[in-house]
Amino acid sequence: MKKQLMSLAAGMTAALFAANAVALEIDPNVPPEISLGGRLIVTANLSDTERPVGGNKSEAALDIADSSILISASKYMFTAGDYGYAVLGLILPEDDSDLPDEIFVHQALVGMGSQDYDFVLGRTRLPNTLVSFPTIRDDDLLAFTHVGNAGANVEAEEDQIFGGVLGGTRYLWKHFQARAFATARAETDLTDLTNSDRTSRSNLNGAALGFAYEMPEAIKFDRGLRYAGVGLDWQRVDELAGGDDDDVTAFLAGLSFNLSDDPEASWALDFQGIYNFGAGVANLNSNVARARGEQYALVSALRYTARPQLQTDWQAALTLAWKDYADFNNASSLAIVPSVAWRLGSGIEAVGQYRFLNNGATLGIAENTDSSHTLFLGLSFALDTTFNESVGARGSILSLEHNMLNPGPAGLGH
Amino acid sequence: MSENRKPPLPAAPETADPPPTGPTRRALLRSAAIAATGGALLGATGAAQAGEYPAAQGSMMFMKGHNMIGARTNAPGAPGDHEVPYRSFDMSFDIMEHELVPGVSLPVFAFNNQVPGPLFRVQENDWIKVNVTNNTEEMHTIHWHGLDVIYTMDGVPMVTQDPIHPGETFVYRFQARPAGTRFYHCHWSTPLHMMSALHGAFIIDQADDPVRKMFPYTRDYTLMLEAFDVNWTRKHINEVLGGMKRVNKLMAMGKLDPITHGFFRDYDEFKAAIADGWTPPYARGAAERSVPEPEFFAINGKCYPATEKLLIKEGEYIRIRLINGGFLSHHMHLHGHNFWQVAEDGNPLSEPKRLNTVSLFPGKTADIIVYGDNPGFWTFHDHDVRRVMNNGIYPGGMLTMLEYEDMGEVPYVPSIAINE
Repeated sequence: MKKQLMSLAAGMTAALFAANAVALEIDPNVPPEISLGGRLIVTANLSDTERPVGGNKSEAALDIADSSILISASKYMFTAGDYGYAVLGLILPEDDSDLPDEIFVHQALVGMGSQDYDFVLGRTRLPNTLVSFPTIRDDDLLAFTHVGNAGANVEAEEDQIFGGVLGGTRYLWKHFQARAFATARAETDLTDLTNSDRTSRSNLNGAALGFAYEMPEAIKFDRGLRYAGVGLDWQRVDELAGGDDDDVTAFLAGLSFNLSDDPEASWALDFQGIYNFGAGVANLNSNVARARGEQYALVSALRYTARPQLQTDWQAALTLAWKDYADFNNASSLAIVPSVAWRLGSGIEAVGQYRFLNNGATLGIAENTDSSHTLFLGLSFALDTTFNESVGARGSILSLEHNMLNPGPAGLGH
Repeated sequence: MSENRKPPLPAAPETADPPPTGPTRRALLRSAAIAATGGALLGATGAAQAGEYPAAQGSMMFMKGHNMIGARTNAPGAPGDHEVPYRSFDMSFDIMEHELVPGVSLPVFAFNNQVPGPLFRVQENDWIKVNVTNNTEEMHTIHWHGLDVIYTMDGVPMVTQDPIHPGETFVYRFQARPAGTRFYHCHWSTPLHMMSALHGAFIIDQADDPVRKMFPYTRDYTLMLEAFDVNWTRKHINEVLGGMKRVNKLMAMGKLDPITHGFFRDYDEFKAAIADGWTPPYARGAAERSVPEPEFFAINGKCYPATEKLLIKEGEYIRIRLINGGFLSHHMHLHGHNFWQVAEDGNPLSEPKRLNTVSLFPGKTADIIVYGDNPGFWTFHDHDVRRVMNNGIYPGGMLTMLEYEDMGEVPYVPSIAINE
């Protein structure tokens, strides 16, 4: 009891010095588990773009975009098996981003959970994609892999990938989960498409539902299905020319298979399809119009990972992506992206990627790109370390195979 | 009379195995040709000059396509089943969740699904046969600590035997000697496996016990002293099981390379692998910075207040066998009594030592005799009081009580404090 009284006194003292961050009571002697994660990726990009207006354009650039850092804290709560957590993350936008700042807060959330559920509120990844593809950056095929933001005319990938979420995941059985979220995507004034100032990032303007079967790769390394999921993404957005609101609804489906039984030479095949009903647009000339057009997107990747003596050495992947706008002729797009990564050390990789993109004539005019070739060569340094490890992992073997339930947050940036 | 948390391990029905030195003792090989080669290798003992042996002779781990999953292995060197009268025991390596104290459990590898493992109680010079089956996905062995076994039964992986594979049954045969307080533990990945929690007592009695002659004790307690790092254990068992899924798959495919385990035929081969570009896991850039730091301390698998009391009567001698089953030092202090230490490492001392605190360094055992001459309730605990805590909260951990029976009305009755 003496220790508890001392802790209370210490907590109150801390509160005096941090008057704007007062918890009901914090015991400073109960430290959280702290995870520090992140990735600094720098590539030299050489691109050649064939444009319908302005002729060919060649560029060479040093690209640090998508580099990010995350810090998270988690603790068990007083009720057995329940946990709480918080995540804060910063990411570097692209050099030509229309974001006002050079650093974007892409993760700021608080969550809690237990054996059966995980509930989160704050900013994090939107539930507008199902499968992670082996391109060297998240946004290398963004137009194919994610449901676009239909309420903001912005270029910044950060406002396509990240947003506010309020909701959670219900773990129905060990490998099955259902999720439901209200979402808050960035908004701009759609009556003035030249103005990319965000009018809101907090308005709850959408929702998402999903159901998935998932086996962690730590357990499912041999041949067979590793992931199967479906999702629905709904956005309530302003009409482009003002007036009543529109609904933009998209269906998503994803599959991941392991093709090989050999843990030293693994082959994996990923699929994702998105059908977006759209909201009816007259043209595809703006980012927001392209996000609202009725469209189909299919992405597939074949991935080979060499792990001699079970040590990951290198990976090669080929990702193919195709997209078509249903209401327009010659408005399809095709991307072919071979990529490689060599593991030079723990978390240190040399990366290389070539991206070929070809647009149909209509889309080519809209994006002022008929085709492009981009070569990425660079280095990546990733870290993922945990201090005071004390909260279990939801997808662990002990939890899933031996019923030793020590649930913890599923993500935390690992 | 013997007092223990669980009864001694009962003997199993006798089953006869083929001669343990025969060429077919490894049951599962990928082909008859490999089996024949393996038998020849394993049988070729004693032919070389002292100190000059073919590298890795006898090990299956270097045979291309070896597969020991589900094998029944009779290690060489011991008399056959029909040559001596074995007392047979069945054991298993299991994985389970164990409660240290209400509110705190951890995953452990355990013998026969219990912590500590079952108590062996045998007579000196008994011939012992232990059939141990690995019910986990991890590898294991049993080291018989303080027993003078033949070296092929010593349980040190890649030194005296191949590790016991998932599904494999390994047969240990040895003579129980010398008499005294001994113990056993897994010797594969020892920091994790011995701590959590593959350890147990092996008590060898003798007909003419010199301790009983000097001190006619009537009750005999065995206390296994333990330390647990709950989070480290959970993390590493998860990592081990994840890695072993792949190792076991490679073995089933006949593709397991010994280097995957870090196995080398000899030092030259090891150096050559590094020169070839293989990175040892302890090297800069590869080594995990992770050392177990136990925060729970237990006696026979339980932390105070879940520990079991020791009972004594006035005028009674009791024997307490203390076994350090972990890797920390413990200094057990008994209040209100000066006891006699009568044995160290299981061996009787020439002169009993009068003490009230006895130190047990890692790997040590100590037998003490307590005489009931001071009725009351007496605390018995590690005097390194950092180990009398549960996750930093005092009191807890390695703490129990010596309680006199039949005291009648007492002036003060103990209760439980768990946070002073």
